[in-house]
Parts: sequence; C-alpha cells; structure tokens
Amino acid sequence: MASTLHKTITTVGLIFIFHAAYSAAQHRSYLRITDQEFTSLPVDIVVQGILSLFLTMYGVMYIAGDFKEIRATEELQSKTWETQRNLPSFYCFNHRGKLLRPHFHQ
Amino acid sequence: MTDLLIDSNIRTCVFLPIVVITFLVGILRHYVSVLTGSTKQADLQQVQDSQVLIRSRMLRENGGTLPKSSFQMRRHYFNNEDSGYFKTQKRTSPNTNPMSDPSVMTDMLKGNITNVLPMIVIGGWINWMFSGFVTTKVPFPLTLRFKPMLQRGIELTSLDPSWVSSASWYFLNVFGLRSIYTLVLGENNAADQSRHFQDQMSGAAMALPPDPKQAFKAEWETLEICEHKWALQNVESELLAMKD
Amino acid sequence: MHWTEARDLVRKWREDNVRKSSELIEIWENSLKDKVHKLGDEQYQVLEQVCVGALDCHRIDVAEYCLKKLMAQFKDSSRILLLNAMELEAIEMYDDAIELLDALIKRDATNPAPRKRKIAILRSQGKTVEAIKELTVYLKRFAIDQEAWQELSDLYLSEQEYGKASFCMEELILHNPHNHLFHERLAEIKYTQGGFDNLEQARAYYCQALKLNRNNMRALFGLYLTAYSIATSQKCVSAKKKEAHNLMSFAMKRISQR
Repeated sequence: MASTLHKTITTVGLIFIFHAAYSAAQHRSYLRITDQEFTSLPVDIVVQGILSLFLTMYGVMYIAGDFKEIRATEELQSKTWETQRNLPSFYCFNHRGKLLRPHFHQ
Repeated sequence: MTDLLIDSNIRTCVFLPIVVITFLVGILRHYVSVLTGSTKQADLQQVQDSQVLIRSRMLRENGGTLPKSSFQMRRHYFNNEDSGYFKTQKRTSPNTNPMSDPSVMTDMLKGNITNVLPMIVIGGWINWMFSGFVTTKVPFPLTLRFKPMLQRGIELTSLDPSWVSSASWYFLNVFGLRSIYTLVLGENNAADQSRHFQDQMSGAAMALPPDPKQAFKAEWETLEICEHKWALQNVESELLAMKD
Repeated sequence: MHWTEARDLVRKWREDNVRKSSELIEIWENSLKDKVHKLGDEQYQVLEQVCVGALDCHRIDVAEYCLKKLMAQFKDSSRILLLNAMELEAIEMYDDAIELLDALIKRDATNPAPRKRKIAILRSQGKTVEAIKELTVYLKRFAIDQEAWQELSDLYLSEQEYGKASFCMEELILHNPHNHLFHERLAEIKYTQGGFDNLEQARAYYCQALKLNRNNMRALFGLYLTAYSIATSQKCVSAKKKEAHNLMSFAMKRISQR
C-alpha cells in the first residue's frame, strides 16, 4: 500500500516546502537589510512552493490508505453468511471438535 | 505607523517555549487524567433504558423495511396506552443535587485538579516568566476591541491590535492546540487496547439518557406520529429495471 | 509462514469474525507461538482469540497456555475470567462455569458477556427451550444486542417456530437495513413458512437482497423458487402471474450467467 516510492515522494515534497518557506524568509530579511519595499515573492519561490505542495499531496494520498466506497452496501457485499452467522459470544464447545481432535494433525 | 521590528531572540526564548510548554503540559494532563479517571459505572436500569430508546429510534428510522403488520406490532409494544413500554415503565427523574452523591463529588474534584489547576498554575507561571513581550502578529487587521484579548499584559494605546502579547499567545495556544492533541493522541485514545482488558469492554459505554422520564415521553410522541411507508413496495420492478 | 504474515491473517480472521479454529491453532503452533511477544499490545487479543479457538478444537493444553499468559498480565479482569469460564465449559464442568459467571454478573451487572455465556451453556446442554426463555429475558434488558437477536432466531428455527424467528430477523433488518444477508435470511424463513402472503413477502425480501448485492446466488435461487411457487399458486391473479414469470426468467438469466 504505502510503498517506499510514495514515502520518498512525500518526504521530498515536505523538504521542498520547507525550503521554499526558508527562502521566503531569507528574501524578506534581505529586503529588510537592503531597505527595499516588499512587493511580492520571486516567481521561483512561489512555483517551488506550489509544486512541492502538490507533490506532497500526491504522496500523502497513497500513504493514507485506500479509498472507501461511498455506497454503504458495497462493503457488505463481500460478507458471506459464513461469517455473518458466526456469533463469538454464543460459541458452544460441546460439538464434534472434541471427538475429531485426534484426527487434527498436530 | 512604521512597522515594528521584533528581536529574533524573542522568537527563540519566548514564542517557541510557550508553544512547547503548553503542548507538553496538555499531553501530561491527558495522561494524568487517564491515570486518575474512573470509568463511569452505569446501572442496569440505565443501560436498559438507553437500549430501548435506541431500538425505538431504529424502528422509526428503518421501519419502512418491515411489513406494515410487523411495524405496528412493534409500535404497539412501545406505545400502547395500557401495556406499552413507554406508558407502563415509570421512571423517576434523577437526583438533581449532585452534592448528595459522593462519587460525583470526587469526579468533579478530579476534573478540577486535572483541568483547572494546571491552567491556573501554568498560566500564572507563564505570566510571571514571560510577561511583557510582544511575540507575534496576526496577519490581518483587527479593531481596537481586540486589544484586551490579544494584548494582555501590555498597556500600550498606540500599538496596533494585531500584535499579540506573550500571555495572550499562551491562551491562544491552550485553546488552539486542542485539535493537535486529537491528532497526536488519537480520538478518545485514553483507553488503549491493554486498558480494554482491564475493564469490561462494552455495554455501559454508550450514552445514557440523563432523564429517562423525559426521554420516554419524547420518544413516545415521535413514534406516535411516525408513519409507516413500506419501502419494498416496488422492489420487484426496480430490480427488473436495474442494469447489469 | 513468517510471523508478520501470520499476524495479518489472524488479525483478518479476528476482524471478519471467521471461525477457522483448527487452522488458527495450526498457525499458532507453527509460527506465532514463539513470536507472540513481538506483537506488542495486539498479543493479548491474539492470545484471547487463540484461546477460544483452542477450546473449539478441544486443545485444552493450548488454551491453558494462553490463559496463563493472559492471567499473568491481567489478574482479575472480567474478560479473562470469562475465558476461564469458557474453558470450564469446554471440559463440561458446567456447574463451576455457571458459578463463576454468576460471580461475574454480580460484580458488574451491566456486562452482557457472562449472561450470554450462561445462555450458551444452556444450549450446549441441549436445553433449547430454557435457552430461549433466558434469551428473551436477556433481550428485555439489552434490547439492541444484535448477536443475541440472531442467536434467538437460530434457536427458534431449531424449534421450528418460524413466525418468531422471522420476528428476530426483522429486528436485525431494522438495525442493518443495508445488509443483504439478513434480507435473504428473512426471505428464506418466510418461504419456509409458506402460505401466499408469506411467499409474497419472501419475494419482496429476496428482491431487496438482490438489489443490495446482485451476486447473491442463494437469493437468486430463492427468488426463482418463490416466484415459481407464486406463479403456480391458485390464489394468484393473472397480472401477478406475469410478474412472477418475469422474475423467474430474470433469476434464471442471472444464474446461468455466473
């Protein structure tokens, strides 16, 4: 399910997001030092942030597990009477198991 | 007004420590409450009442899947004037004075010790330790009304209301971290698997009606006006019309 | 089998409520027994599961082993004492088992599990009528216990009380309106009961079961038989006969497609 590939993708995406955030902070402090007015972030930081966000989202989607069917009946379709009729709290032990026991290979 | 520049040491010595402290205290408090908390013991009568109420609600919601006679038989069982369950079962309203029950008192005391006391102690300590710092700024403009909320401990009339003082930052954290706790600790994770074995596991876990008399009356009314509509009326033709 | 595979399989069986006791014991002895400490908190659930499975196969030695391990961890837990009572049951010391269960009920009156075990004991002793009586008393207290309703339906069926059995099934449908198996089961009971009205209801419930799960083979066969009975019944008017024939051909087509 969660393969190493998807985990790597998520990690890389997260690293890139943090890198983008760090670059943005650096950019702000650089502007402050050089006494320039802040207008907008450089394009490369914005692009990096958005791309890495999508990368992370893609990876997380595979890590989080499978999607569930939206219809309520879908999950029940695979159930069989074999398991449905089985009631653990009413198990009786007084049955053929006792006599057949020697025939179970041990 | 010119922009305010904050010393980056405030970030490392005030802003982050407050976040970490509140977070760790929250986790600690969670485990203390797990240790001291007692599971609520319900008595048999309460369990029976709540189960009957659920059964009646199921009848209202899914009654259409039963034939009309079956539905009416069940409603008769609950609602009949002379012999119906909701009519014959007399429940007294529960004791309204919690002080008379010592177990409720101890529960309240425990709740106070684990919830209120750390709030006061840690809050006071933070106020004393980190008082008088401007820590951060919310990224949107606010009106002057917010000043007492966000700038507790700093009386500066000229300061823009979107700046947050250290004491207020603590309170924001206390309330804001709640969803992080559920993320970290899991939903209601107080009882992990090994604890399940210690206690008995089911039965009393469901919500109990606080006042069965009122609940019975309300359920009786809703069930009384509930109409039966046979949901399988056209199921044969619907099945035949279904595509593969 | 590697122990992680064994763990996953056993977990799947536990979650799906599968009773493959002899296979479970085999897995336990071949791959899980020595690795059980690696399972963390899950080991206790596995031990419990294996213990019940061992009792099912009458492997008292295995059950004893699991029970001892659980006892060492949780002294005096009602869930473990319940297992203890089950072991007494398996070696047919019913009186001791009932005594232990009574003590458990006294300790916590709201715990349904020991009450259910007492009813199961009555059933193993063959006292079906008493078991039915006890179970109805139990269901007055715990009115939404689905397992109990299902068990009561089974017990009534073994006494051939079809009307009462179908009442229990209806109760289950109320709680699980999307489960095709309960619809199918109710239809089967109604079909067995016979009579034109019951056949009509059986047809409706078979159709509902098929609507919820189109691949339910048993419901297809059931629908075919029911529609056939309806079509050949004397009470049947011609319009209904046509519909019954439609349903028959529909069921036949589906069956032959598989």
